Amino acid sequence: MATTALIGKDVREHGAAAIGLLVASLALVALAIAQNREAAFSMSPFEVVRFALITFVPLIVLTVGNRLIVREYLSGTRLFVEALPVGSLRPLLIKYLLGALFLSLLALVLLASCVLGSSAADDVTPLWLGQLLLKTLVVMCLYWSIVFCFSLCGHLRIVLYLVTLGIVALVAWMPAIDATRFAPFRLLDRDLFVFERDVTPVVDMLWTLGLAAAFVVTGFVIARLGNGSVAERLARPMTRRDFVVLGVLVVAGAGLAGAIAENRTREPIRFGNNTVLRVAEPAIEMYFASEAYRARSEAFLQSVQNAIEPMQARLGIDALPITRLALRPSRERHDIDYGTLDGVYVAANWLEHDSYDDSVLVAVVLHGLLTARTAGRAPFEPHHWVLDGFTRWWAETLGDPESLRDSHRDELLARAVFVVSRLDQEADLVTGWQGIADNFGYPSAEALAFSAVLYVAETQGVEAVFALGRSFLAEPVGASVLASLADRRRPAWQRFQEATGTTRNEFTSGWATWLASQAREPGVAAQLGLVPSLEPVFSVDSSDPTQPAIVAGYRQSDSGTPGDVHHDARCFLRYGALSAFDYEFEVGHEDERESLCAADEAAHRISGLHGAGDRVYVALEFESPDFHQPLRLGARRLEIP
Amino acid sequence: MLVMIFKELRQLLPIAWLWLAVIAMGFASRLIGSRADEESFASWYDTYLDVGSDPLIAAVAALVGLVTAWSLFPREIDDSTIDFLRALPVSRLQVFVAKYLAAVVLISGLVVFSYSIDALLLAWNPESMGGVFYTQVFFTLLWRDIVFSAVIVAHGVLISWFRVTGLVVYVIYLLAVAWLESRAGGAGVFSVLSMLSNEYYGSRLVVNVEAIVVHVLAAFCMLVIAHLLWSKTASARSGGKQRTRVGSFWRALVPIAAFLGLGATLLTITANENGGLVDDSLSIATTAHFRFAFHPADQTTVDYVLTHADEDFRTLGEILGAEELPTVRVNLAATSEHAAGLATWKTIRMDLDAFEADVSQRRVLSHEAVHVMQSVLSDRAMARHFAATRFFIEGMAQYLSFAIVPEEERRSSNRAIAAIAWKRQEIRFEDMINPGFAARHDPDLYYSLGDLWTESFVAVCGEPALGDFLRAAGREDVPRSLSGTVFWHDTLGYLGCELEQVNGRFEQDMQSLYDETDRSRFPVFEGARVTRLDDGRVRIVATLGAEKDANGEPGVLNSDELPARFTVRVGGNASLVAAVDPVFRGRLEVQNDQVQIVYEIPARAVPRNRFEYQLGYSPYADSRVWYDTRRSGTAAAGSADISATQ
Repeated sequence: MATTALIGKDVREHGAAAIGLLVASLALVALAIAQNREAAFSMSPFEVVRFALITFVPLIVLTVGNRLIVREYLSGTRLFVEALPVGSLRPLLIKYLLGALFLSLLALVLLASCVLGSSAADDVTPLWLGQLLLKTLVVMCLYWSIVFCFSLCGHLRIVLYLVTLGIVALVAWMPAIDATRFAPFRLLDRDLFVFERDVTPVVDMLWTLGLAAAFVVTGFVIARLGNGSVAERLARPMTRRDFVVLGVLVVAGAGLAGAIAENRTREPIRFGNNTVLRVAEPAIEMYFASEAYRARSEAFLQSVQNAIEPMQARLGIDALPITRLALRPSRERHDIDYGTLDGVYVAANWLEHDSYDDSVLVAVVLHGLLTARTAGRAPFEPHHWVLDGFTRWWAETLGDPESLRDSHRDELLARAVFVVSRLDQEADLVTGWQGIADNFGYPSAEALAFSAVLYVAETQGVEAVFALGRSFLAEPVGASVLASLADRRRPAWQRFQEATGTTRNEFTSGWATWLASQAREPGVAAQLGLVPSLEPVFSVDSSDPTQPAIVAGYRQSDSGTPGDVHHDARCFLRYGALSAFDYEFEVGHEDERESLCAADEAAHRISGLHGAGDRVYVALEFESPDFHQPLRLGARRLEIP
Repeated sequence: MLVMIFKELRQLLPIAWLWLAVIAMGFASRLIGSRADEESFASWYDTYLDVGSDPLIAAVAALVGLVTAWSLFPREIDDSTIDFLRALPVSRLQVFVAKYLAAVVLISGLVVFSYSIDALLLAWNPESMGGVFYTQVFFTLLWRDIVFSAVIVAHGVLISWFRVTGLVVYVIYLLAVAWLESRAGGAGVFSVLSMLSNEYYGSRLVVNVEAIVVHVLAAFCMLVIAHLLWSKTASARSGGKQRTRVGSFWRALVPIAAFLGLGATLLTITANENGGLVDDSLSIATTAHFRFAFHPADQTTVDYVLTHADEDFRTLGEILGAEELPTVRVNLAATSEHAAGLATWKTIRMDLDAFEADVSQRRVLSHEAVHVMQSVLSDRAMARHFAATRFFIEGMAQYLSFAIVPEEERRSSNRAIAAIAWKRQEIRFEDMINPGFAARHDPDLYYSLGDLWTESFVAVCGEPALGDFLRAAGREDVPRSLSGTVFWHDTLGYLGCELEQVNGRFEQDMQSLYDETDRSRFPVFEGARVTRLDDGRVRIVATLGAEKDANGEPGVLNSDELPARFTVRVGGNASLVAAVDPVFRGRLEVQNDQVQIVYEIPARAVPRNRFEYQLGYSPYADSRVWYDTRRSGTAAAGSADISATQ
């Protein structure tokens, strides 16, 4: 009798709202089915069931909880109900069951709507429909139990909902956690929820129901703890102390999540084939593709090993990640793939390399190793020139200046002199490195950095270079704002001075003078004489706004004398679309135009590829048998007006 | 008025603390995991700067606005505290405006606070390029976010009067936007998200002025209505709850009737379009492993497919080493503009209008059946690593379906297209596993290039490795966080097969295929003029030329072997739903010995000035389309006039 009266009271109070909510849900479901029919990749109208469960059903459940429980607890009207001679648990149990009943009705409406929108192709069998209804009810039961529990937590419930939302987002999106493997996430799996007919996920449903039961029990415990005093206390507005406690809980949770993520580490990837050479210390693996390439590959592996071992000792590095080298025989000489995501990975073709090409590739490997060693800090602009210069210097000399081959030195210094001659202002290695690399390409930027390190070695001795390497490249840097702060306490030029004993001004002026003197050395001068005395010219022709064109070419340089250019030399325009925001951009060879290296301001014209408002990176490069790598004459970031 | 606003702001303090906590957690999570002085403008704002609008960020901003708006009036009415305000010597309009402005000021303050921290962090990056601060973009984002929040608060103030009904209406609105995007490719200014749509002119952010004006005006109207409603709403104590039975009845009946009408109408339409369960016109046929639903008019084709379905499926199972085969439900009555077939778990949809020949339908079924087996054998792992395996998912399906149901002509044309694209666009394995592949190249290349890569895979690792790969990918101990390259090395390493060897073989095979391909069938698009016509359509006129020869000399266009069909694919405008880029046909015109292709794109496909497109053609009769790389165009209104006067 009392039960009937309590049910009647709730039905009278919430009946009209419940009907309204049910009918509104029907409209939502109908619209979702209509959208599903038009969607490009939809398979069945029953996908709407899962869609509803992860989008608007939680909102509806929240609304139900708010009406049935929260209102009564926050306004204190529950005290009237508790004063009735019906026991303390019964009113709450009735509310829970009424909510569950309403949501079951909602599940039925949801499924019935989908059935109405389905066709014979959907193969709606009673068994499958029952299975789908069961899964839907289990999920709704979990939702309702959570809302029921949190609704009894008064003002705290909003924070609890936010924390729950955060946990769900963490589990769903955190790469270290595979949510498709456990309930309740597995139950709501995109593929299985609707399309699995053969297997009923009993275990997942039981886990989900267990979770729901835990929330329900917690809810009842909260309601009855201290004869309802806890619920009473929670219904009051939160104090600052409550906020602090919650803050601690949230931080602890975040720490736990971080720990979970950290624990999912694994062994690095290894090559697994019989055409692989391996060195244990330092750890190197080399895939050489075929027995025919074994001898050449062994020789190159030896070069890499010879470079890494002493560098590690000189810089005092205790451990380096594994280096994996992959031979790609069909690649061109300087077509290199490079990655530092899992150790150092370099894919290239070293079969037809001469000693200069080998040094280029060894420098790439060292570049990767020191980048990985510093956890990605070494390519940070203020440090980047040291990384480039040191690795190339080491690849050329192995720490012994006498080992530097004259031909390598001449070509590298000629590049460096060329870059300096084309710069509008004094080369600033610390604050202008990205611009130098952008304008003149990585090979020339590396050569410029090499010249700076070579200058330090020749003027201050090799120990100064080692100190430079230790200061910039040997220590791991953490991945946090605190690590940034710690690293930035010693600015780049301060480190430089500590390592070399030279001030910034002394170094800059000394290096410039030294480089100018090197330009007069016969070998360097001869190499410079092989460069065409051309200056790049760039413009945008937008006389036809329907088809704006990028025009680029070459103008005879005022200062230089006509170079003794190799007859097989060619000039290339290389270009690529840029986003609205600048970043270091290395143009590929897939979009290029070729021309003779001669003064012609309109040697290249690109039209029909870009529209007004586009940004395009355009570089003019000189390729000749006299230079191992393309020599960039200049580059520009153009905006189509 | 100022006093009123301050009073409301004080009342909003708890919610301000809540949003501040959310902001603090957001910054903390980012700063704990990264070196802030290496963050560039683009990396810090990430997807929020992408062209178009980001629905996730818009949803968060909308949630903040709605929750704040919700705390303005409903509680004051329920707790009857509104009576104190109404007792003050100020008009109800002033009370309303003060509350609204307080909410807007609060959110604006939070936005400014959050952006100020952004600015401080970004200023810390000393790099000459990475550290560039884009002032115009920054301030444009700032004011646009504030305007967006003001609009959302206006929505919230209105819908909060209707309480839950208002929320439901709002969800209906969002679903309607999604439905429009699915149906028409975009919802235009109807979607409030279009206010946050990004377009760039150089490095300058161009806002969607039309959308902002429309939604600000709409918000103003909503505010007027909201004021009328709230100012006439009595508080709980002053009689708000003491409604007459008749009044309450009508209050409940109107929304119920409205929702019922809407739901019933939509369901009736959907049921009628589908045929419905009661009066279903589809026929059903079953085999040992399949259940087919189809239109009786397709009986002949279905008979042919049915004859081979089980045998083909068993062959597939043997190749993949499957111990048992699932039962698959196939809907042969589906229609799709985008795909001949789709598969999810143990369900397949096919559009029989996609191909003429019955053998092609049989092969499509085999292709989709491979997808079913991929999901089952890998326990859905391929979908978990979708970006890195998409080319292999489609490639394996192509490879096996052609092996089971040979269609040599179709396969060779697909492969020729792949070879040309591979060479001209210098596509590598690393590109194929890159999530940005489809944005730069033709997504259909996943099929043809994937087919060829799978062939190299089988040549190196053996045919049984196909099934072994699927099972290895689904191992329990494979971390979910593997990057594309590492996932491939890890999975192939488990099989004892070397990825480098497969890629080496692939590069050799592709070069041979390219050398064998008749390139005269693959002319190049040399230029493209883009104009906006007076009726809003966009016209692209592209010039067709021959590929240069090995010496770099211009070739001669073979007019006898010009492509049969020309198409242009335009970048889509949907933000809430996964949509397919729309495709439009072009026509060939010869003017002054120049071969030109004219494409005319409907205005709805290019709603703003800037857009991306890909020009393409079918090099062989009934072949797939070969698409050039993506281009971008600007089709400002009036550009037709400009070109005419040049």
